[in-house]
Amino acid sequence: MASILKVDTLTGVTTAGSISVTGEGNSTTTNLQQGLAKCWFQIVQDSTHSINDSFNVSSITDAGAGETTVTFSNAMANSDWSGVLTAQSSNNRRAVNNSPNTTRIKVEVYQVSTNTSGADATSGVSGTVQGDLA
Amino acid sequence: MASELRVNTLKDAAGNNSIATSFVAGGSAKAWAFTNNTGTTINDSFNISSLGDTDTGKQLLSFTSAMGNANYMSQATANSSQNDWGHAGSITKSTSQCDTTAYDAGGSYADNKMDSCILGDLA
Repeated sequence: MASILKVDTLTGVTTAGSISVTGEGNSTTTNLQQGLAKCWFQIVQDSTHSINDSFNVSSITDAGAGETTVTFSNAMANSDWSGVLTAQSSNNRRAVNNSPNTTRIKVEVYQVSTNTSGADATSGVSGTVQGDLA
Repeated sequence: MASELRVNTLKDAAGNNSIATSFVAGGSAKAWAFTNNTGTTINDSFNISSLGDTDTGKQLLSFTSAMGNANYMSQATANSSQNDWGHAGSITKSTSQCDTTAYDAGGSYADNKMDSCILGDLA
């Protein structure tokens, strides 16, 4: 029988911030809070640097050629989160996560053949953030 | 007291924003890590039991709970202030381990802090 749970907030019983979810193989559980992306975004580094879509992003700022500062709506608990980025480009771009902190991810995009110069990814940059919310 | 809830669909209290619990399990990352440049320290992680430094620029993540198969999605990004880069799963990609590899701008292996993420099916 199908079942539907209507609720605004899920909270663990033993630990408020820890809920187990049974995995696909039906034999292992995974931690819901730890597995959820705390932020994701698809931005375009055009002349104005714009957000196409996002989650937990309050704003972005053009920080220079190839550089976008993406500010979180809800801060992370520490700076030890994982930010995975992909430059969507047909022109040899790659992205790095520079100097993460609790309030933002700084996206930096470079052209492959250039050692130091940033270069905008005009087709966009996709990113996800995994870690602990404050 | 531990409790278990069996349900097919989650909605908010107003009955909106419906999501099947299969999407909750399937859409959750099964592992992630932020590791230091020499592959000796896990700064923070989920479902990672250990980290190995296998060579210059090469790190090996071991999962606490194994994946159901080796067809999972693996990504890694250099955590860097310069034109370094990296990827995951190019050397070792099994149900219990996944590697990350980092390069400098010229394409040579180079030690780097790495951000990585795994999505797929748990065993």
